[in-house]
Amino acid sequence: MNLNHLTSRLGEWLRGTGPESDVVVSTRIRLARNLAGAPFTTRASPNQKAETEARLKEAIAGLDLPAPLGYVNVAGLPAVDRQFLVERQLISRELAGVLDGPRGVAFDEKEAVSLMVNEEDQLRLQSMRSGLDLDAAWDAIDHIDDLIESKVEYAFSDDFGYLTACPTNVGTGMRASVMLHLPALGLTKQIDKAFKALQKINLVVRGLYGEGSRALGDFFQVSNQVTLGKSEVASLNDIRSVVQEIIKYERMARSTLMREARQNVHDKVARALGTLQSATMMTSEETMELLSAVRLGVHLKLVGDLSPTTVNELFIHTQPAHLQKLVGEALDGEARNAARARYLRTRLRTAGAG
Amino acid sequence: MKCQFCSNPATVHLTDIIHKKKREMHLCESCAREKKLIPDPPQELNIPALLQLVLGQLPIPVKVSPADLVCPECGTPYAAFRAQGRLGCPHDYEAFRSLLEPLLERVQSNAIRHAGKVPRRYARRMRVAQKAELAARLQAAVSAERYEEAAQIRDAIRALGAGHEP
Repeated sequence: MNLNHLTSRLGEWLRGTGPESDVVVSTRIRLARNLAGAPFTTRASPNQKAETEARLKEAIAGLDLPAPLGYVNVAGLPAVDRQFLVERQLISRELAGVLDGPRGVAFDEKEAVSLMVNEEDQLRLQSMRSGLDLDAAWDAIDHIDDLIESKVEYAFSDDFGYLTACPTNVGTGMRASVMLHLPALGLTKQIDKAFKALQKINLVVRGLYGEGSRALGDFFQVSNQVTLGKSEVASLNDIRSVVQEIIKYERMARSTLMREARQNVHDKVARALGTLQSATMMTSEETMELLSAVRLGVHLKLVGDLSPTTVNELFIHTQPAHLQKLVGEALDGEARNAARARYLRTRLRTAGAG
Repeated sequence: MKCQFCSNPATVHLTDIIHKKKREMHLCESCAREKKLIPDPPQELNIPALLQLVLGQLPIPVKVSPADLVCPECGTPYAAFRAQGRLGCPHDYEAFRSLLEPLLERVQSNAIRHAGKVPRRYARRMRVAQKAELAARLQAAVSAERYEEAAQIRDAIRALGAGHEP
């Protein structure tokens, strides 16, 4: 499959719409599944992995879905394409580069569903939604899970539920994550206070790209930690109630900023936009930080006619692999930073921001 | 019981527990004396001699530590799981069960039992197995003319769902 046509499109999770989309970027639910009677991926021989891939590919190809899934052989992709799929969050870093041997991913046109084959678990099903939409994401992936389960037998035990390679996933095999944009809590230095509530009920917070790293551009992911002893719906309810609390805090912080520091916020947003429109060198970290301020400005109506969707597009297009695909050549270091700055200048001029 | 060293009746019985393995020795009094297990009376048991006899006569016990556990299905040693954090196959959950349960309690916030979705195929199989068991009990109740119990079992079978499932 040629991935180039994806460049001009935005995946479901970046549409910038959906419930609570002023604060919530996206909702993602993944299920970890393995076939009964086969070794887990890390213990499997290349032949066994090829067999697993064949069985799952066949099951996936036979799915009766409104949006058909296309299968991409990840093992056969060049590094830039694998990185490209990571940036679109269609595959994990592990599937892209840490794991080897036969492996792949199936996803639909809208990029609302992705099924990874021969990840740490043989099957990782993911469903993505724009905004806070846990129910829709769960219904979609639960349904696909049932359909696949009618074709293959999953490793399952009465006591431990769905059996996974890592005991931290055993049980439901479900990890639900909500990505939040919390710039006002960041600006008012209340972020730690807001996250204290999370620890009490076993949820994890991490930054957008990379685990445990500093949250770049005030993007945070909230997800459930426990997969055993609690049903999927109960876990989703826990996440929902916490996320709703955080949304409330962020909105309160935004209105406080607008009431007490409107000039300062406006200045910060305008400077961010100015830098993006005129700089000639731009790292992806700086881009994230500046676009975060612009995104806040868009939702506070401090920026002309820039849409949230355009901001999201800039986020993804300035990631290294996307940028290289847009430019049409391999770039490193300074050349990449120059290309990124050039891209941002052009896009923000045509987007009519100012 | 006869002495392990000669055919006289055993009158000295020793039980020792080493590495959680219990071993027993049965000797007649003269052999016990000869092995210096019981020095001439009224002295006490010669503990070092006894230990030496127990350890020397039997092969040194293989110490079963967690690190030596291996999954019979996929050959993954428990030690490899501890080193890499990844299990080898679904059967590891049974093979390492006693060691995994405390670990699950830690990482899963004290839970060690699944409370979520069950695959349809699995749920169906469980129903079939339950029905078969109930049918056998029904048969037994009928032949023993326990008709009241039979009626209850029949109702339970009906409650599990009609029809013949694959």
